[in-house]
Amino acid sequence: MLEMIDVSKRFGSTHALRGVDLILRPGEVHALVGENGAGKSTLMKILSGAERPDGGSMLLSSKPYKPSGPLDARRLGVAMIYQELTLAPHLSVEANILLGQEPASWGFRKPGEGRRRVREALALLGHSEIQPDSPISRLSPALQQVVEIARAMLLDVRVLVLDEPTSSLTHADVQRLFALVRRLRDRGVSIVYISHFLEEVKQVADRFTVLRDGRSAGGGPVAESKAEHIIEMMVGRRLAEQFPRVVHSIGPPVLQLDGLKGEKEPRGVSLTLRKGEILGIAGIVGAGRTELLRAVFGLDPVRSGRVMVLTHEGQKPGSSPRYRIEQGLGFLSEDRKREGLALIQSIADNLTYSRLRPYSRYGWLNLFRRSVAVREWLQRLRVRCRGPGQPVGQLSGGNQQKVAFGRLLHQEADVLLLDEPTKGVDVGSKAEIYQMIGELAARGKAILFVSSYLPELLGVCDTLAVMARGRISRVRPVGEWTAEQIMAHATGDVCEMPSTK
Amino acid sequence: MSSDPHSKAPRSRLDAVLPTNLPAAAGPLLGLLVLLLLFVVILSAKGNLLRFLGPENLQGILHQSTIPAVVALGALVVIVSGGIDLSVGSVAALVTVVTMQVFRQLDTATGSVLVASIGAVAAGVLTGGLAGLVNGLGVTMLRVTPFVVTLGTLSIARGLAYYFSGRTKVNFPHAVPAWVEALQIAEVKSGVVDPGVWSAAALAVFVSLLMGLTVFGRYCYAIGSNEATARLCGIPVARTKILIYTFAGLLTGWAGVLVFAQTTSGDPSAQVGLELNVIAAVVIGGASLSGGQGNVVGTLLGVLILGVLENAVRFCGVPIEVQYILIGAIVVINTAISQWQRRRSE
Repeated sequence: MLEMIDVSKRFGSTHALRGVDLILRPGEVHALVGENGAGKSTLMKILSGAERPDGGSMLLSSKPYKPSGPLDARRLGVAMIYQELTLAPHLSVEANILLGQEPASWGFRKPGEGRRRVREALALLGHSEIQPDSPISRLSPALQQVVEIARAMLLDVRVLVLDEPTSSLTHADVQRLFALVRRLRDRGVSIVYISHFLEEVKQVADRFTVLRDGRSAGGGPVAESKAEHIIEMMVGRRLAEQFPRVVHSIGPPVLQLDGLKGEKEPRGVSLTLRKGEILGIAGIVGAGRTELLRAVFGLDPVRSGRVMVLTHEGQKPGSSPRYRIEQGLGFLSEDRKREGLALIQSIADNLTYSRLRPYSRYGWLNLFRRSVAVREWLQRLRVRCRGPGQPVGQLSGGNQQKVAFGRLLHQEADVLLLDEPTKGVDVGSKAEIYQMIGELAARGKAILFVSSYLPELLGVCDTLAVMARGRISRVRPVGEWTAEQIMAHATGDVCEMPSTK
Repeated sequence: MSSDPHSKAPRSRLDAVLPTNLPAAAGPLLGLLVLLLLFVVILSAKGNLLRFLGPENLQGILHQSTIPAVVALGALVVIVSGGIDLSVGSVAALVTVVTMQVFRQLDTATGSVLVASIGAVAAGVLTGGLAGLVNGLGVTMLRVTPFVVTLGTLSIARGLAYYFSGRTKVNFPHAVPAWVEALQIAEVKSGVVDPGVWSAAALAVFVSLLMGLTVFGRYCYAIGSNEATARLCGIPVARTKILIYTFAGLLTGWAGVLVFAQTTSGDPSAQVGLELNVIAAVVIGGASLSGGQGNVVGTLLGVLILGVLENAVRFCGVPIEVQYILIGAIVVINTAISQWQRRRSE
């Protein structure tokens, strides 16, 4: 059905893809697996026409396939469903499905025809119960996803790409989605299924391809491959080597949360973080983990409950990020582009914004002294750059993250709130970040580590708790958790455990 | 791209202090030179080149550019922080009226021109600062976008100007004081340029240092390029914004006093449309309306480009309507070129 041969893509100086093969047979579900940053999303962007390859060839039904853009790709029969849905929340189901493809003659819509095709598409997906008139915002995330797939079905889709389709679905909804996927497969649609979860791959996929560091690292029929074998292909080395463990010991409590409630999430979280402890927080997207960190740091309003920084004498009421920084807290945002960094400003600025005091006197800066200090920091953090004055936006993702991380170290934070610290970071930088986290713990820092990537939580943390729907499970040593237990907690299959008091 | 940042230490203090993207002002400088060259050619063909390049005319250009330059310095700070100030023209008019009314009151009360002058100038500058403070509070406390807040104060200030002036131009009660005369006339016998231009130059140096070498300056750029990051880093965003608008207001206040002196009147209908000229100058000077970029040198060049354009076009005998069209075209073309440059350098 589709062949991608030796596809490569560069962004500036980084090779996102260095020769990937993906061969898709008609009527199969093909899983695409790999770590974050392995090149899955770049490959799919090329497939769906959002990016163009630098090298390699693509054939669709044995004909050369060169989409000029996402719209062209759709016309040729290749549709992609992104992790974040692209629906207009105020419009109806029907309007969303027909968006951009309203049946019309001479510019006048043909409502009857449109309605018929919408109903057909929904019936085809086994979801005739969705009313074409109901507004999108009233549907559950699972049903919104169905609407998005229905939109793709309206044009004669031959290749459908699903990017992490289960990330915000409940267990029951996942099973319904699988049924839908199988139904499409039986109609001859080829499906590329991107997932982090090997259990899902085992359940729904026929064959798989592994990407690692921008290369195809293997593949084959799912039924004949063992999970450990697939993981090995993804990681490329044994897990122990990937997560360097730095010896550290845990001391007295430094941060205590007492029934912390935010605007919506968190919904009453109690937690104690101790000196030298790396406490991981697992959970699915939307569980309220980011909101928890933001509430602690004073970025989101706190409705009730308390945040106590025990190393800091005298607790002022009211909590601005400025005050939290004074108390020794540091927050690493999951979204570098929109929040974490001022991309057009220099590395030096971004590193020192939260603590300019050492270089200032009566409000005047000594830029020379700062430049010298920043150079030292860049060396310590192993940031690859032209110098302190280079705009931070020109760095690679991994180096940007090191600068953002470096800011917390520069401000001498004792409690580090890390939200997805390895998101969008290449494998090499990841290992350096794990190393840094370990060294910080060894120096007595306390770390709250939020991540959606379970292996790193299991590999780096001392203790772990799972969040689901704004609540948190009990904190237990990481060795007492199994991956299955964590996933069960995260997806809410387990009755809620009482939170620690 | 060299991979090792540590191989070369800063060679001198200058290396560390100078911005790495030094040619930021190169675009507007080039624009100014091209423009000058163009008019030199045209005017030499017409035979009045010497008069155009004569000291009197150059003094005149600088004199004309003083008011937009002072206001543009404030506008630069605002725009770098990601804001906008549309109220400057109306506020300048209000300042002229307040200055004149205070002068008249104090003059009758004390009979001393000196006391009346000092009181009037202080009142004028503070009026500008107060307007800026209101803008800043509106942006931070009411959480209305700067565009709308300053659109509001634009109208309010104009209304107050008419109210305090009794809907008409207010003049000096008797002879014009000597300092006003000194600010009024472009041609000077000693001191190269008139005192108004000197004041603008001094302010330019001050703002340049403020933006480049102070914590406040860093905060302005940080807020402008990413407000979320600024908040995350514990930068007092609201307090800084209030300071920014107040500072810009004080500069507008001083510009208003210069208008008052140049026109020797309190005129409620003065300086309509000043904001657009000033924003154009700042943008021509390389600042980005989305914030985080811009510098004093570029801004001054932007003001000069507009000043030279206006003056030279008049020299060529081009009618006023064509002037407007030319200015508009230059703003767009210049911005397009500088953005193209930026994209290429990335």
